[in-house]
Amino acid sequence: MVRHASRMGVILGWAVLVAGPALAQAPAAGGALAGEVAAKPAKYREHVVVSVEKVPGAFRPPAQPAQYDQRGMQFIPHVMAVVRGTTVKFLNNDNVSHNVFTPDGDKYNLGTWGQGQSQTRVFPRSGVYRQLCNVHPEMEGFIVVLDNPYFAVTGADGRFRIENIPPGTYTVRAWSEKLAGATQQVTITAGGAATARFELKKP
Amino acid sequence: MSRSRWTWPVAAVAVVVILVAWVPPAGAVPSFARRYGTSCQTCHVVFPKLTPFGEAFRRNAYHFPDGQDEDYRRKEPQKMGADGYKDVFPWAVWPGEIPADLPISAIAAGQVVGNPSETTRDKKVVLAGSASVNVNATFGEWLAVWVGATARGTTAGTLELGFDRAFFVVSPGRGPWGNVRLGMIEPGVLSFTTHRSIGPNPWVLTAAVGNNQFALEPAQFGAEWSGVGLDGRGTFTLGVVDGAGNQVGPPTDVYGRIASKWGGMRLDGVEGDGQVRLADPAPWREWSVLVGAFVYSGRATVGTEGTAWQTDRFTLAGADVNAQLRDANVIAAYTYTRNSRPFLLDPSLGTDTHNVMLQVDYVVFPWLVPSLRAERRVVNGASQDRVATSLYVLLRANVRTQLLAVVERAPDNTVTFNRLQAGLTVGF
Repeated sequence: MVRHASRMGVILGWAVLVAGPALAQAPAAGGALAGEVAAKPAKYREHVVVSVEKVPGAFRPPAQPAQYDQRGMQFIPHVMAVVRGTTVKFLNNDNVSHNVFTPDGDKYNLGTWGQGQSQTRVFPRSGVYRQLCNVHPEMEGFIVVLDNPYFAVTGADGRFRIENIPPGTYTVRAWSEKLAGATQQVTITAGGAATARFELKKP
Repeated sequence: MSRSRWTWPVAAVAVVVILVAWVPPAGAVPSFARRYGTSCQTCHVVFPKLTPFGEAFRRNAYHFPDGQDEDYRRKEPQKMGADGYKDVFPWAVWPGEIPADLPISAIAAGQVVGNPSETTRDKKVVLAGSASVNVNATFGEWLAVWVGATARGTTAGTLELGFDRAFFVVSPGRGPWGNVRLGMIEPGVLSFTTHRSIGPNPWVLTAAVGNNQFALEPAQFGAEWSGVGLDGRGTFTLGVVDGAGNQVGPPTDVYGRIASKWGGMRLDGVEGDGQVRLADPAPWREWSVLVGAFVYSGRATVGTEGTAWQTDRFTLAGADVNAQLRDANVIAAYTYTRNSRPFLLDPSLGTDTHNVMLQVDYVVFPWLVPSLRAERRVVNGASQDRVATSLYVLLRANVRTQLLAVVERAPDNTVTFNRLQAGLTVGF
């Protein structure tokens, strides 16, 4: 029951995280950006963060913390994108102790905790933060902190869709943990739907 | 150079060497089939003969071409630390990985060998067999390990144990342009070897000369750098080895090869549409010609140091053509060897050896491949010929039967029906 509630929490957290800021702050006459990421090897088309850069405006982080789980000896989701300033709640739903630390940015180490316990951390600066567990060296996850809420993380089919982007011409960036990143220019129109396709390969 | 009294006996020694090598070495790797969940026929016409894709796989250090290896592996390798630990080093162990499954293959082979020309009754029909174990592992994209050992029954009733090959392949560039093989390797001077061709082995053109026991095959200790360039159409090989068949010592032999392929699959296996040809119904079929040339320079101690011994300096040069004409594979090769002093009993005598061979393999059905080979060796003007015909039948992708017949003409023009062989080989 506790575990079930925790899963629901993760789902709700995700919904708030992805939809909340964008819906709350986006202009009513925004446009959409959709597309896909092709990758070589193809399996790396999943977990690619596609983000729109330098969108004017100030963006508040979501009121509720984003949840980042450790379950089945894995970080879940493997890649999570958040807007700068977001508070992330690190869970442990395994029956073994886990740790969270990163060698990136501020190089934090949140310590070690057991099942059902959690730790929180605010991410005030944008960047890519690898999440490692010093109890289980094979575990690895990524929290990608971005300047605005106009981003998406690709699914297994490599597709993505970002809604309510203010009209304008932007640089769109694709980031992958394994492959070299790529950028391209897109123009968003009010009520329109722009498309973008990225082809990523190893650096 | 004039023909000497030693020419014929020495040529006869070469024939004996050929005859005792009944059992072909293991050349197929079922653990690769397990790794990718694919059939032997993805890489082999009939094992161990390679398809164009199999050649590309080999040139890619036993990875799928074009960086697509990870997409085709059925099981993810076991991580020995996340990549992020690279930035934690030296405060953590550098991360690595090991294969998901133990990468071991076994090949069992048995033969019934008839010697129609044999005068001794109990040697007219003999049984032979071998059992091979191969360990073939890859570690990430830049390191592969290959170890093959075979236990072989001989016609004398004894058992020979030995390594066929044992080497690392290091690919720092993760591509086919720079593979370094270190260890016990077969020099890559020709487009074919006993490990990836069908028909009797060893080839006459790789046989020893005089008392110098050097032969291009089997494997030698050394290092070899090979790569693919020119948009996947050219290849080069440079190597330094210790010289096989003689006393083990520091590497003294060097060799180099260049080759180019026109038509068919690129040597690195990259296709224009970025696809890997896994499900091709005729993976051997293409129209292509590969032309190559090589030079090998070596030095061998003939005899036993401290007693009767001498140094034989020798140079090999040759060229080969490997043409795939739809279902027919035509291989032609010529080699020339100059030995300075290969005979212990006549240290002043040098030899000039010319070898020429032609082989045609034809895929009648994907499971039925006949082969015909003709070879000639001329040592200081004395010639000998060998004609071999074989029929390979795949009962299953990993179960092969073969029939083989060999007729030889000795330098004294004696013609002998030396071998009639039937065999069964199973890989798993």
